[in-house]
Amino acid sequence: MRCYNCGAELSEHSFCTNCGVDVALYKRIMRISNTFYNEGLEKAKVRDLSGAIVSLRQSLKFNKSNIKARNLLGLVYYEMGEVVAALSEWVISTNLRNKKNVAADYIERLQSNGTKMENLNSSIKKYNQAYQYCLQPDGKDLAIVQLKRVINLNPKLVRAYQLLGLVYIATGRPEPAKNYLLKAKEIDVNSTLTLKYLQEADRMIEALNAGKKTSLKDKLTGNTQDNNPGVTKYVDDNEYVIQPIQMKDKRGSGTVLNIILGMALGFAITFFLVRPAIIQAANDDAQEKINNINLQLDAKNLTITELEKANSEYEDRIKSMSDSLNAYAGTEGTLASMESLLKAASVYLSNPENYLEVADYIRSVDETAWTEDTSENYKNLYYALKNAIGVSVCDAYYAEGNTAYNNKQYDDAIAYLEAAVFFDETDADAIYLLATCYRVAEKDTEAQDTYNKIIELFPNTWYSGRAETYLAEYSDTDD
Amino acid sequence: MINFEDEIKKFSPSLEVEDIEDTIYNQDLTDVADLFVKMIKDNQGD
Repeated sequence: MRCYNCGAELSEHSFCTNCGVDVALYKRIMRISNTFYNEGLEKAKVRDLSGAIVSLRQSLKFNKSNIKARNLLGLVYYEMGEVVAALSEWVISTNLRNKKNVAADYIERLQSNGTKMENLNSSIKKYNQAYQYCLQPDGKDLAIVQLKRVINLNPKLVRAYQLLGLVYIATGRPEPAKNYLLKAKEIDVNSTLTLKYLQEADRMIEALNAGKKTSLKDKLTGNTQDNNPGVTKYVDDNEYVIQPIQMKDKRGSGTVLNIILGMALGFAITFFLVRPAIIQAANDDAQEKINNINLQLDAKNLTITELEKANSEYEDRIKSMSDSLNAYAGTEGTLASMESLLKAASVYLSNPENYLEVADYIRSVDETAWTEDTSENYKNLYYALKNAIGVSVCDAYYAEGNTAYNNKQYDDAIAYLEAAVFFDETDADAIYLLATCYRVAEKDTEAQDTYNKIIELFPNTWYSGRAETYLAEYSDTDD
Repeated sequence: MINFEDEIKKFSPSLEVEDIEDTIYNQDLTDVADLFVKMIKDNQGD
């Protein structure tokens, strides 16, 4: 025994020699636990298993770590066919002490025999089913059939014998009840329930025997109301014989009647016993099928959910990639721009004099679609080509624009001159003529913007002076 | 005289093997020794 405070081994003293705490009461609790264990052991030895359970549980209430008491309690449960209770006690026991504990051996032995374990579990399930039959108003016969199966599978299950005895008593059959209760008594000699049912079965048997004796006595003394003239009665040794006089004549009709009665009985048994069992079995099958279908349905629902999720992910990815592609290949996107730039480069390399064609391709390149990711080499090539043909293209477009202006074709002139300014912003004539065209064509906003640009690019020149004059005129008009 | 309806109430469904885990976890393992030790420690705390 160890001290509850410090864990040191206790001596015969009423205090701990290590930490000094008072252990008198603690020792007493341990002693009470051991006393109950001894009592439980004595009861178990004489097969008073119910009594042993009470004592051992008491022992554990005082000291839950009384391993011997717990292991013995498990054994007693096992002996009474209560496998689950037994296993529970042994599992707790091995948790409290995992070394040098016989409970581990018990568990291993039980678990190593799979068939036995399966039978025991099956017997418990069948017992529970029989118990449910007992609760039904007309389920006693089925309960008897089921309980007999239980006993075949688990011949030590005391509660099955007791329930079977009770059902037999309730159906007025004390003889089989007594037989099964005696078997229960062989396992657990002092169960109050078994003894009570046995007493009842004995009482019923006595009552039946007394009834038979009275009936026989009445017949022997002639004190009977059965004065049927069609029978002969006599005493042979100790037996009272009643013989019908016209037995031979009635034998044929009696046989037919017996056959009819037998058939009726057969139908009745089929209807009341076999049919409910068949219906129950069919219901069980149907329920199992429903369960299986539900399981399959759950699995399919899960698969559908997963597929939907995957589909959604793929759709998101497609959308993302599509967005990226659109960013590259929009109406004036980078892909088209790149293609135009490559063509411009190609044409320029093959014939630098063909600068107008190069210019068309260059103007197809959309500078506004450029992003941070746009390659520097790409930009460099663009500017290199633009600068290389810039002056020539500007001159050519300026000439065309000037001709159109002179012919008062202002829209054409604006298109040519915008192209000219695009390629060479430093050409003052081109930009000034463009501003003039805007003004003449009454595109005032564009005209004012262009005049402002002239003032910015060519300050203190004739062009800027003219630009200022026209801007002043616009200001006066606004006022 | 035994009354079946009264007697059947004394019986109950048996625990199945699948219930072992719950049975173990739901067992109240507090014993008198635990109560005693707690009582002593509570007194010391005061």
